[in-house]
Amino acid sequence: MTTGNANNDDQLAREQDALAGEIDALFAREGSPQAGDEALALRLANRAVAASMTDTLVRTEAPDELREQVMTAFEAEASPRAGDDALARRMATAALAAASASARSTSARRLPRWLGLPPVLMVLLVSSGVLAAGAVATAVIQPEWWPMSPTKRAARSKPTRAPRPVAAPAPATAPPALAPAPVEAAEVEEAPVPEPARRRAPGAPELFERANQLRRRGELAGAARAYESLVRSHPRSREAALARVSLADVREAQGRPAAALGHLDSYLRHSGDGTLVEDALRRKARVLQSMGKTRLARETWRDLVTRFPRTVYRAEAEAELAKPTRRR
Amino acid sequence: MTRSHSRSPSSPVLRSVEDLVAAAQRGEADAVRDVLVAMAPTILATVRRIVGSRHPDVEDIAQDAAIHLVRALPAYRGECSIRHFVCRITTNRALAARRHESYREEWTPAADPQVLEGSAADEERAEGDEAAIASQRRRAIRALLDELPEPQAEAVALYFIVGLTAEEIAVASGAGVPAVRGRIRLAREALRARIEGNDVLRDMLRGTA
Repeated sequence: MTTGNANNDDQLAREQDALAGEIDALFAREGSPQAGDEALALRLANRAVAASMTDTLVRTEAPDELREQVMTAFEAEASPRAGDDALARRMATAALAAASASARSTSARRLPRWLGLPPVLMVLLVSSGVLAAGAVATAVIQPEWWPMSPTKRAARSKPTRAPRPVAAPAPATAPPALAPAPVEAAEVEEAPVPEPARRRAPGAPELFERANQLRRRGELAGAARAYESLVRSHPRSREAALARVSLADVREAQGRPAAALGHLDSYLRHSGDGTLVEDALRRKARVLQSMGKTRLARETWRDLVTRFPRTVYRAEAEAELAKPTRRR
Repeated sequence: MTRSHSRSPSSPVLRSVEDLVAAAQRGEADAVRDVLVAMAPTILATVRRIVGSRHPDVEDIAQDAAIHLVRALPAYRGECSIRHFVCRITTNRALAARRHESYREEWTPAADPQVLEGSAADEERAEGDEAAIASQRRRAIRALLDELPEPQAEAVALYFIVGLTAEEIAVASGAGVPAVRGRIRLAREALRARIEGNDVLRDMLRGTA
């Protein structure tokens, strides 16, 4: 018996040695020196030394005068401006609207909890056309008034992750099973547009971008014509709705508040509960105030806070409504 | 660590921004808006530094950054301060806007960058000599941002213009500190080379080692 156990142990030892030899042979080639190892070793050493020197330099160097001078040169740019508070509120509103639109369009499975928007608002967002069918998952979803750059426009034309069988030239139709009769009908541009088709006639996004460029360059007359052309040629598009608000800005900048008022009223008539209604009501109130139409301005402020009790402009509206009315 | 506070429109009780961020991540819609309003000054200041306070697209770029912040908020884990988190997002959006603008100026025949350039020069003349020189310096440094590779451009913007330290940049970006320092070093070399070739910028270095 003992002899048998000893034989087994010897056998096991021999098998282990053989296995170790096989494993060594498998990996021996991996660790063997290769051509170029000396040069590689030098490079590795140099990089490690440089990294170490950089660390030492940064830790022990005197205050970075170059950095201080550059920062000082830019300090004045960062100071707050008049109107920043209102701008902050607008940014917050538009960012929330865009984010909820993006979440709705990219995931029909589950809406991120942290958005927490009430169902009615989600239905309104969908019906406003912001979440038109098959919105590009890879594109940046922008608020309605966002001027679309060529890069983003190109991203929108890419095939969507969840394509729907929607024909590109089909007239705008309301998405199924959503709020009835959306005033801002869903535009059907989510299908990829072949390059030759885009050259035939500028679409609403191209016209909108062109008009925005003109506006940014201060060419107000040209911008106004471009916006009006867009509204005439693509009246049901999302861009046309935005263009009405932009037109109001342009007319106001041209010193034509009455025309601005007309465009705002047009937007409010055609957009129903579009996402810019709060902003449009606020602008309308401001324009009316500039025209001296105090009573109408106050009615507009009241309309704003009544229709949108949680509007970001509530404090501004209440401040205006609290002002004593003047008797002429 | 000092905590910034924000008065939530929905409640008279002051809440720290960190509390608002936590509330936003829990799903409180009002908190998301309050975070955006609280961070708006940081966003605007960063955009204005990088593209210029008189750039016509400041509001658009800031809005873009706000949208990206809303999307990125669920992923924020508190490794860096919320301000640094916002600075990095905003810086990247502003740099992207600069790159897109360069693309549009090059490929959009209707665009006339000389119009904007001329108007900027007019404004500089109206400012007075010192302010005009400062404007020229800023423009020259911003032009460098458009030429550098993206990681170095981010390093220049965050380190030299926005004012974050290398460690803060590393934490906010998730990169290692040595990598960030390497980018800063390369960016510094590029910046110095640009300064050496520019009389106005070279004056900035007078007196430095």
